[in-house]
Amino acid sequence: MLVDPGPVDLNDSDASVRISFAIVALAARMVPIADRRGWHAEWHAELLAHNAMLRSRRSRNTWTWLRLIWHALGSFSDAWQLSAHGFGPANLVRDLGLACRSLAKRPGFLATAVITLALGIGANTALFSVVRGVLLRPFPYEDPERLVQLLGHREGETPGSGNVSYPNLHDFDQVSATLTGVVGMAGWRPALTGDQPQVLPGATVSWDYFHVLGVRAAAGRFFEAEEEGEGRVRAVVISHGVWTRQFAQDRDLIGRQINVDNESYTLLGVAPEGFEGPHLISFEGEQPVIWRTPWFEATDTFRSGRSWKGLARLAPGVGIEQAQTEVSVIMGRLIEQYPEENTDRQVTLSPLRDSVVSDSRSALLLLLGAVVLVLLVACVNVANLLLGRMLERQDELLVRGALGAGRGHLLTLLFAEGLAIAAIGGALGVLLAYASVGALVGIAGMWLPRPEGVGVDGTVLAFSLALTLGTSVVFGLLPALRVTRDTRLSAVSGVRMAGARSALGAGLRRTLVLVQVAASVVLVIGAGLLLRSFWNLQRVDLGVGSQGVMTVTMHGASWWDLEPEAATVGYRELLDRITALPMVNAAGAIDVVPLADNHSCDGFIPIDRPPPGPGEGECAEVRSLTPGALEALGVHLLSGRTIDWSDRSDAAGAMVLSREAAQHFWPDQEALGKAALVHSDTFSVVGVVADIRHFGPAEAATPLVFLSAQQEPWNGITRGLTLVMSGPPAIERAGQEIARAIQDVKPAAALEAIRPMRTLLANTTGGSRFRAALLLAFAGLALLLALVGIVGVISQSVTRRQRELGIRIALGAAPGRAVRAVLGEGVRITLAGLAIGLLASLAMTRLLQSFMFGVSPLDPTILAGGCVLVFGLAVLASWLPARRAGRIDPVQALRGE
Amino acid sequence: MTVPTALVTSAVAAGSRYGFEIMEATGLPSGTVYPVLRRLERGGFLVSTWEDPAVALADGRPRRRMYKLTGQAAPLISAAAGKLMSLRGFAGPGLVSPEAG
Repeated sequence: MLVDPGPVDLNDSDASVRISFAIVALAARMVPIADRRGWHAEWHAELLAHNAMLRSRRSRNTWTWLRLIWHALGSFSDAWQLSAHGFGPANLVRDLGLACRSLAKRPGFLATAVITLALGIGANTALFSVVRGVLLRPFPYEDPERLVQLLGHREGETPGSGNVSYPNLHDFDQVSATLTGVVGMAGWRPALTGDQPQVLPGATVSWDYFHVLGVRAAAGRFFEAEEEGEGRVRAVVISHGVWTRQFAQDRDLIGRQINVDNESYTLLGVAPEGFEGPHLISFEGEQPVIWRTPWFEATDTFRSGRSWKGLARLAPGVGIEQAQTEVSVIMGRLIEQYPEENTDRQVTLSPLRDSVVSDSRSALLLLLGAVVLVLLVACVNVANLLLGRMLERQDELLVRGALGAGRGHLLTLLFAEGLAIAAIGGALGVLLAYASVGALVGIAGMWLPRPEGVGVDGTVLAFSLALTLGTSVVFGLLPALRVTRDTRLSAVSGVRMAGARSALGAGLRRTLVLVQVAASVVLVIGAGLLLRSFWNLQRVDLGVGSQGVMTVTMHGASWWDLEPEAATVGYRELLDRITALPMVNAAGAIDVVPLADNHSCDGFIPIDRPPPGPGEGECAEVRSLTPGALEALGVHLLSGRTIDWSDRSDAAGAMVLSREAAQHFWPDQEALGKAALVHSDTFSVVGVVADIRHFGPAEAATPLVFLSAQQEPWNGITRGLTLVMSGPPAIERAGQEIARAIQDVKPAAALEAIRPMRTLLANTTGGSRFRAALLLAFAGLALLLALVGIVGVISQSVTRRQRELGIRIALGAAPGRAVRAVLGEGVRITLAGLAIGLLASLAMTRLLQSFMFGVSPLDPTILAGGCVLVFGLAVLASWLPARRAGRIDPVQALRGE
Repeated sequence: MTVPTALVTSAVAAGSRYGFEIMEATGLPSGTVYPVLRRLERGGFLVSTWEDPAVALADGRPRRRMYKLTGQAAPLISAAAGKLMSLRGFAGPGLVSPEAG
């Protein structure tokens, strides 16, 4: 047993001794209080004895000076060993066991803390898995950072669809030294015909498409140069998924013929498993799974036909700026060579990743910021809960401290509880994320690029683990530091300050709740603005009906080979059959359904004006349709008539314009009766219809031109058109009957998903819905957690002020006054939180501006509404526990003391 | 048993009493010697006492803490000697065979 050696006399003025003593004094802070004096005395005595010995041995020099300090530094290792009595991995495991047992005795507390944390970590993990899958996951190509998209656009304008013409791409490929391969790709929607025809998303690509991406075939081979162009052998490459599902990975089929769109194609090879196209072409979110090469010579085709996406690989050692300079020079030459098609056009290079994720990046990062705020609120709540619990354990901690537990030991003990809660909450959170990721991707719809890579993988799990440990430090260690500081003071002074102790942490808890209220206000206002934007988008008049309208696309029905007259007869028969269905009011067919993302630009020249010079020609979106299509789509006729069956190929050309097109081409004039050249054929305006927002509610109405499919220059009637039919809302559930009716007339037709127009609308507003739904969920979560925090703080306040309130009631104060006194505290915290939150909102809602539609970031209704909502709920949350103040029995309250 | 534990055990068995004396005898730094001493003391192999105040006063310095092996340490001492013997060519200063302890 140690004997107290009494104070140490420190009269040595030697600098090395003084430094050594200072080091030992610092190390002593780690030693448990009970052992500290003895430990200190031993190190002092040893250092002095050692110093005397060194001094007697040789003359003082730097070496002896350093040696003493080196020995003193060893005191840290000694002190650590002593404090490790309660602070170290082995003890943490023991304390974790202790924490789990003690938490099990408080199931209510445990459940609240764990659920709070699971929601916070779950929301963060789920959103991070989206961010990881979309923004962070590398493209599965060789050196993907060197791939660039060639974006075509008008000079001085930002690229829209970025489409370019195939001959221009071919010229870039031939001439450029800074790009090693330039490839083009365009959408293709073929049907694998056979027993069960199936429509697949596909693409027509340059022969060296896969070579430029740098991927290897899983079976067979990819295209060679001679397999592109006129007279080429028809060949396709298919995805690993199609090979597995349709051909059971049969290697014998490689090199054989398969039936695509009723034609024979050689199956050349299979793309590697997990191959992901560059996301420049997608069919409502679906990536191509079958590829063919162009069947025409690049030099022979229209240079004005801009319907291709361009992709290239930067040559080794070449930067994007250098390549851009060369591309601009080449484009300059192409303008000189082909002024008619290229004047006023420019090509901009953009890193592939930017092209693919630019739309979603800012929204995802913003949501990630919001969800971190939710986690902060959750952590604050758990910290508050733990602080309350630690304060309850003050007596136990005092005893432990008095018995020699160092601060390190007490910290580990308290931290272990936080860690245990975090571990359970984190595990639940990951499960929650796992369950909700699918729903998140579903809400986003087509808006989210690369959705196939979104999921809970190793990286996401590592993120959650880091989050769990990080949060446990925030909410476990901070309150523990606060509590143990006071424990030590109390232990040293030996005084138990009951009043001061219960007040301890109250200030901290109030501050934490204030932070929660502020964060909630920011999220509630942000959610309000995005929700309003989404609401506005839903209310936009698209110019077409979205309720009770069904669409279905047919493939493999051999229209292609039919003469226009035969095709017309076929369509009439089919449409008559469909119209005869009891729930169908109107039916027709059109080549591109509104809201399906498809930009085209077809030359349109009013014949009452002088012919335009090079680059001055105007264009419009030209649609080809049968009678009944505009009626089925619910487009309002403003004047004249719509297309009817009399608009045959041998009749005078007729066209119907949208109001935007009529005003654009004949401003301030009556468009009816006017004529224009559309791809060198003449058409007269026979009708004007209301505007259609073809590309979605957030986009302006585009000039649209509707031609009779029988008269359209490219024989639209012989191609596969999309059937549209309208009726009562019940029609949306009549998919089976519609399919049967079509197959009665055309048994060989492959039908694409029969779906309501609503689905297309939902796809175009996917981004807005995703942002609004997520921010709303986050705001709701944060607000709920903040309210729980307020209830906790006010409850604690009532308990703490029980004596004071008891005396006030005993002296004649009405119980209502006591309630108001406590309520006032809640109101003050809330008002302070509201003020901070409102200021933060004013600064932060600007970040949301690009996601808003028809609402200002400073919308007074939403700002005020958000504040009133938070304030009202916060006052309610304060009032619930405050009622207890009015029921305090003065006798009981005073007896308790 | 680690080499530092063997060295410290043997040094105390050979008569070293103070922490810094044991450091000198074993050549180990203070940051190694003290943790070993604490572990041995917790294990009951070692006890510590404060030296006689009169001795310290006579030398004009504070009292030092002295370490002494207990009866329980006998197997530890032979294990330490075995461990040190097994180290080829080892011959530490001031170290003696377990019988001498």
